Amino acid sequence: MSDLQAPIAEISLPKENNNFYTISWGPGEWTENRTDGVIKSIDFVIKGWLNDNAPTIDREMHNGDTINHLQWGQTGSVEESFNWVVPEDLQTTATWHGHNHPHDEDNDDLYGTRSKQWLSLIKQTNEYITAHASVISQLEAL
Amino acid sequence: MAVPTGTVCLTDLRTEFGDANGGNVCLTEYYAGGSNVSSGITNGSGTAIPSSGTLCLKSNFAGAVSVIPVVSNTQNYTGNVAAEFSAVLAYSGGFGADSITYQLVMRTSTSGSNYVATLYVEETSDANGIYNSGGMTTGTLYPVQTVTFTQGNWPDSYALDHSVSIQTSSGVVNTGTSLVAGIGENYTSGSGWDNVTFTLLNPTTNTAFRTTHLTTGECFTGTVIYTDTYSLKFIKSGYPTLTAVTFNISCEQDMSHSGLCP
Repeated sequence: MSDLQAPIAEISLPKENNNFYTISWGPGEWTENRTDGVIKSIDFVIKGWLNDNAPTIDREMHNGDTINHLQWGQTGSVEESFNWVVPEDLQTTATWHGHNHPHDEDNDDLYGTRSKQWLSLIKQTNEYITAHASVISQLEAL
Repeated sequence: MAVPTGTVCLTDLRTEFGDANGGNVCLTEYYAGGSNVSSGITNGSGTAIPSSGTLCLKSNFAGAVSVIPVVSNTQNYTGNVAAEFSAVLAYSGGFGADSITYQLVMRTSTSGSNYVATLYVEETSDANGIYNSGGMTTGTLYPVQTVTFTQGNWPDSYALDHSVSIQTSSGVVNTGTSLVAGIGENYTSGSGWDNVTFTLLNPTTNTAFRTTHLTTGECFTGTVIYTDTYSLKFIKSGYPTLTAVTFNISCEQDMSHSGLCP
């Protein structure tokens, strides 16, 4: 195949798809309800912004590069929440590192494993599906 | 449909172009560039409908059509998204980066005496794809939308209008989207092809467009989901732009960090 540059018609065309959204969920957004340090349930929050309004922050990484990322813990333009009970076999006392140093590797690995298991289950719940769809529809209406 | 070429009535204009303002139909509602008639539309003789001044039902509107006529416009995929791509990255030591890349290919072909424009999605070796609930094979073209025109109504050009929405679980993770040059076909889009109008070449040709999502994270365990939204638009002189379809492609990047975060 030749991969020639396709001829361009040089017509100015108005954009139809603009300013889509950013959605955040996860341990930086949710609230963990603990008993004796054990996470029993999670108040799961889904937050959304139009892309231009999403709160971001620059952070210098350990290799010296700067990374721009969505800043967790901020108020969403739209938000939906629900409570999810953690199954007994997936409960833990581990904590999300929140990128604070020093890290406890064993804690981080356990929490990372658990949080992915939780998210996998949460995404299958009707509460998540309803809340997620609601956030998107609200964002599309902005 | 088209405005008749014989006797033309105001109701013919309302049928063809609509009546955005409602109420009684008035000829002055049908200036080009107004609420009912897009700029640049022509009558059946190829003369532009006036944007001001005197309007004449027959001489200005006879044979005019409000959209580019198509023989058919068919969605080829099932479900909510045209395709889903995923990539998994397990990493340690702090920094991780991974990408998902796929291609769109515009193919022009013939069907009898008609010309056909078909947009395809193609998996690359950079991610695993799903199309119509089944796994994709790298390098195979999977149809998204097929639009058939008569040769006389073959559009002059087309464009892919792109936007992206992002979903991410908490963490130090950066998302990136690049529209780059497609490869492996007759023609390439070049980079930065969002909403760029390309000449719709006569059959048979293939033009490749490539989208890359690069996710970088530091000690990030979680998921990033990119939802690409595209509108396929056709342009023909004398007609308003035809948006043949708007569709989504989903890309999910799963990252797991373990061990020391330096």
